[in-house]
Amino acid sequence: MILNVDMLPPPAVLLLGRILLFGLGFLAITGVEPAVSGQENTFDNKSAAADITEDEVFFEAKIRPLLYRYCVDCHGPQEQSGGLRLDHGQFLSVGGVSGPAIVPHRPETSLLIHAVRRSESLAMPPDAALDPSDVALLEEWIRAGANWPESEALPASQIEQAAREHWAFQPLKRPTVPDLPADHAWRSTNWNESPIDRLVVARLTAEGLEPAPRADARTLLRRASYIITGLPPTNDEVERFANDPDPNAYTKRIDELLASPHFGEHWARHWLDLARYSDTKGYVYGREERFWTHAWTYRDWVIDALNRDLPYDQFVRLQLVADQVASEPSDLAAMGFLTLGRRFLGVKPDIIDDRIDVVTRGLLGLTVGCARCHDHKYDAIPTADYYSLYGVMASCQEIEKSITPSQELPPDYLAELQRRVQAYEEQHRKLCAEAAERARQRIHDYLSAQLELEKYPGELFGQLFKPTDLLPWVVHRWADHLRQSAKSGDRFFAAWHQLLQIPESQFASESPRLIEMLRMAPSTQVHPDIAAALAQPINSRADVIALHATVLQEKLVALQPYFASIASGGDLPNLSDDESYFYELLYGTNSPCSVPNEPIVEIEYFLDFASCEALWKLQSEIERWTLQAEVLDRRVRILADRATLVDPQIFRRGNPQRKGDFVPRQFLAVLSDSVREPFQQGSGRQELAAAIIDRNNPLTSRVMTNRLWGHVFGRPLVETPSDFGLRAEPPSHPELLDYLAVELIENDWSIKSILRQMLLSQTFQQSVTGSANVDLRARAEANDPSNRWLWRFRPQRLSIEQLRDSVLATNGTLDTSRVGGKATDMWVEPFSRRRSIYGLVDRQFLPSLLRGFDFANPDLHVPRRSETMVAQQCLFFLNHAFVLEQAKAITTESSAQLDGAAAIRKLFRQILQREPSELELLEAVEFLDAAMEDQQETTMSPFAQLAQVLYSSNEFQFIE
Amino acid sequence: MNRFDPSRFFPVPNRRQWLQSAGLGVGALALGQLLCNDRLMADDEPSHPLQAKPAHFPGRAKRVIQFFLNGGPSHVDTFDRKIALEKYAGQVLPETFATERKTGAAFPSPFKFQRYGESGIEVSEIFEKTAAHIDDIAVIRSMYAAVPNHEPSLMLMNCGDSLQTRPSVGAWVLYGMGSENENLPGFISLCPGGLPIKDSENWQAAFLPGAYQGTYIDSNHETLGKLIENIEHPHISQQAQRRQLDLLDQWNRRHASVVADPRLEARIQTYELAFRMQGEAREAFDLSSETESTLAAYGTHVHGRQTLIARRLAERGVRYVQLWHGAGQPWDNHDNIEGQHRELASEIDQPIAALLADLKQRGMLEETLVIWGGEFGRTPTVELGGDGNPQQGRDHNHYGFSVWMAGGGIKGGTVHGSTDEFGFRAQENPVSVHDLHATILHTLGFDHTRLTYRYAGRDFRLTDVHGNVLTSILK
Repeated sequence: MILNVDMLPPPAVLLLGRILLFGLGFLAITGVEPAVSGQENTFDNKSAAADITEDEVFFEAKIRPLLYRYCVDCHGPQEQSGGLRLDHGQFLSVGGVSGPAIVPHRPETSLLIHAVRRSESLAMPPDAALDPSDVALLEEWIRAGANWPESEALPASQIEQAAREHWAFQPLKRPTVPDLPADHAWRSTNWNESPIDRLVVARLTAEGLEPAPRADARTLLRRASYIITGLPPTNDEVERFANDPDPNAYTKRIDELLASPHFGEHWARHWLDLARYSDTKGYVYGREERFWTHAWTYRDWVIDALNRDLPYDQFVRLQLVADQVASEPSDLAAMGFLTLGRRFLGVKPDIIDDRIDVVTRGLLGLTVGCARCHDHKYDAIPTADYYSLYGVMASCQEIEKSITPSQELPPDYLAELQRRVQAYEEQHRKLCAEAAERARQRIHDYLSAQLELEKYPGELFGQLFKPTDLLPWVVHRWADHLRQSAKSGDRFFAAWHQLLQIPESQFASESPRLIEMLRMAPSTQVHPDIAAALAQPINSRADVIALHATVLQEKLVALQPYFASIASGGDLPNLSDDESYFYELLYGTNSPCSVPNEPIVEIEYFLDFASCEALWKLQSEIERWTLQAEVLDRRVRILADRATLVDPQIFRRGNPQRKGDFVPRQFLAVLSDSVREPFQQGSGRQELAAAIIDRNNPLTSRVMTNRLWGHVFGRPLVETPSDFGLRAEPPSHPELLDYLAVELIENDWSIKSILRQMLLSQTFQQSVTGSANVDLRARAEANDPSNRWLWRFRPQRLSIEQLRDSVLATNGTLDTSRVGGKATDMWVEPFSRRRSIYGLVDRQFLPSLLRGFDFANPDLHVPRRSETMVAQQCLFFLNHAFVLEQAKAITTESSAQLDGAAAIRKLFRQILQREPSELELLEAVEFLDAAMEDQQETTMSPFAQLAQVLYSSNEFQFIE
Repeated sequence: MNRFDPSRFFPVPNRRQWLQSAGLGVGALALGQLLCNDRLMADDEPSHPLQAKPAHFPGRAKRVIQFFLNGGPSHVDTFDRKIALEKYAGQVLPETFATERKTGAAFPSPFKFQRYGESGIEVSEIFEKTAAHIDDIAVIRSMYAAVPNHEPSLMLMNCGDSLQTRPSVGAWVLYGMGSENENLPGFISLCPGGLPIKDSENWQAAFLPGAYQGTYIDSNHETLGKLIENIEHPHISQQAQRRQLDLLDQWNRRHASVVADPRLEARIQTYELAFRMQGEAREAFDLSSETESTLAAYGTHVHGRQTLIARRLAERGVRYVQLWHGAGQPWDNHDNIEGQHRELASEIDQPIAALLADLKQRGMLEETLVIWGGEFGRTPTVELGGDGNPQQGRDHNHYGFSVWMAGGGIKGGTVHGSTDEFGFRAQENPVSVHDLHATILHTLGFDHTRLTYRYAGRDFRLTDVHGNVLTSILK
């Protein structure tokens, strides 16, 4: 508060009292808010049960929707303007700073009714008057006693209580996993060795089931190879393994596979599903290059990190704050996790929303995105917490740069790059300076615009602005600045805030006394230039604006020489405090007039259309040069903290145009101690990362462990891997999840060590057929068809990447000579021989083939791929040129020097890693016979047709 | 070289001996049947994503054909006549609104309007053939969208949200009802010559399984292989392929009898489905069986052909067909709107009229919802060029525009809502895009508030938290 009420003369106190009445906090007024769209309907009426009274029906049908639509945004759980809440009956009689809002049975003396009638200076809702019929409803409700259904508990407190008890939020403790009891049937077997198996078999026995016998050697090796590397073993490897007398043969193979570079290539893809990885930006306007320059370096970083078993906590930390914690420049690539989401047409709140989503669902299994528009309906995540994280992200800017040492790049490449960068930077300086100057010249217009903010729509509303237009962004920057000045008690705008609270219609009657008071106020509270200017006749709100504009214009002229001297390289002379204030306001880097010195991607909205186009074109020239170059210039796109941080404000109903309370940048309440400290360092990203990887965070390790389990066993322990909130079903094996989650942390967050435990378990090595005991198997099939209790190994369908890689691997043409590199289109001829992870993921033109195979949608964080069976998948194997080419390639090689049966045998060994049965041999021969007779002019030999059948077979396409 | 020579073969035992020695008798078959048990299949619910399923209640419409006039057709030049614009010609209107570009004075429609049908609804001359069916059409004249830009408005109209990645209407419908014909894609988007802007996002499945995305077809192509991906084998005959499938089926069944899993059985059936799709797709896209008079009614232009294909697809049970006007944004006539709109309308007026007549004659109109519209309308004021001088066109207008629907339980000959005197802004009974979506779903038998999909912790729906069904245009 800039004015101390005790110091004011008695009439001013009275007047202030009226302004404070019913929630119009003295200086917290933000001027004019854009009209409510009237499209919101967020309240679901409760269904009327038989015992609901007529009063309650009336309340639910008429009154509660009214209160929610018009009042609760500012007088509810998020914000209590004037200390008042109208979202629950218990608050009504308490009221706000102005006293009770409602006197039951007496509408005429209820403040609420005074406010909505707008009969006095108090007028609510602020934007537009209620329909008279709505006012009548409120009066009727109060007259009848303002009944608020008694039974209703506060939903928020219920959620908090439930959160305290929710399994996923309980501290992580190592469960004791004792030996199986002495009388347990499986006690003296190898199921009693690892805690995983003990927990699984105990559960199975409790369900009246038993585990399956161990799978045969070929099945085991195929299974392990696919799950660890995404590739099948060769037939030779299968034979060697099957004939290996070493009792540790299996363990040996698992360790070899985990050490293979193909491990990272396969598991990186799992992570990229979560990271909504794409090589392109999604739809962008024609002026902007649509390919990311940094995507593949991020992908390669993930592969490498997994291959070197970078501890998971470091893996997470680098992806969030490599700019601050990386010891190697190559680790900067990790930040692609945050920066390679969709561009959302450049609309910042959506870009940030996408980042909040990928961080919270991806790393914590919390659906924080649900709290963007209102408090989370099911979890203890208030909207305020969403905007706390929003503030973290909004306090960062994107920077694209190279991490390739320049000596590794050819001079002519660098020279041209430099030329393009220079061209961009020159224009950037020039156009930004011009834009800032235009904004300064039109201060009066920008201040006038504050009275009609609704005419200046948000980022999504695209207009082709000319240099002569007012830019909405600058209008709103002024609005933000004014809001901040109200909060900080700025003496220059004190009169502005107080006088503009008076409605125009009452200005003539109410302003004189307030003006008098403001003129008399000490200079520490009202700037002397304003106090002096108030001596002129002030007849309207426009006059208030004009007088502020006039003072600022004078300051602009007076300070211009200093600015000019700095612009030409001079130093800022010693300015008085007052001069400094105005210099910062008008010329400083945080001035609403200034354009921040940031890349075009961050400042589009500060510029007119032509300037924006020009800068994007130059920026795209730079990106295109690096994209098209033959040389591998490894580029990264990081976030870096802004010099000026953003103090986040809640966007009411998610609408950036409707700003609510300020909130600190801080971590989520549901995962914090009772005392929550706002973040202290810069944007807070580093503290955010620390909170996520904190060993006491109950979610991070559980969430990751569950994902690992899901990829190994085909089904996670918690069915909703990115939602561990209140609606998430508990894990099928709670102790198992906790045991492994603790192990992950205690094994220095080693992903490989946890995978190794899973892969070496007997549970993993079970056959797909289930128990040898026919009755028990029948019971398992009947009671647990989805294999929740793990009575067998559930067959897994190969992903499209595994399928493609396997086809190439089995016909001997897969190129495994190097790891990493730029992406190539996998689905155009001549077909690439590289692994699918190196395939281009173009989110704007994703081949329908990929989505047809349930490939993760690159626009979204995808916790689990769906598993559909549609004809397009089969048409691919029946007719696609890639499959046909590979079938021909394998047979060219197979059949050349062999007689028929030997050739068929070889085909089976290559594709299925086994000998054909003699029946299959016979059938294959019959097939070839018939195909021979039928053979017309075709480039597809009978043998190739046979290979195609094998590639299409379920045995090839499923992991058993 | 890779030809197979049977003479190089070893002697092999006969089939019966093999069957006996492999022990694959009746028992294996019985196990196979056990695995088809409903409960087992139900556990792997997404296995047959396109299977027909009942909606919430019996809807009047069974399917949708949507004409998407991408770029934004001008409502005041088509279905929303504004006489006041003539009065104000050349003058600045009393109230104007910000759009993407600057606009100037009132710009009366260059086209003649006339009353049609018993309902006497006024329609522009450029849609005179469509207008002959006006008594089957309900015109919504009070549509409004969010912003005056193509990209967000296309997303809003197609997917219900301007920016976020959300499933398209067709994907929702397919998710809700499946398809009546699994031998064809259930949701098909035809567009001649390339993609509209926003590309395949317009028919995306977003967080729904990929099986629900629209299948894009470039209707400029006439050969089957170019119309649908992987629809035919480039080298071998159908007979040869059948032989492959028979062997595959035999091996897959034997495999499934050992490795018990419902998905294996599902995969076996899907191969048969794919095989049938090859034949059915060929037939569906082959117009040679249509009579001369039908072909003449639709016309020879690509729009005639793609509209006729739409009818054939609808007949075969395809759930949702979108007919886009063309690549990019053809209806985006910032200049020369008279010439451009006249030409564009002439390309689709006849096919639309032919479709309505054809559906009616076949008794299909009552169960086929036909939708006409773009992502927004156009300003009643003239667009100003870079030099500030008027061009002969109109800017985008999301404040008010027209969409019409016919068939599928829509009450023909009705007008819902209106724009202001000049056609700038929806005034009477404004209809949001969510309302339109709620109504479309309603005709198909869905309560739009209950057609939900859980993703990222929320039960998403097409209409988010909005939407009111326009009961006044329903029968």
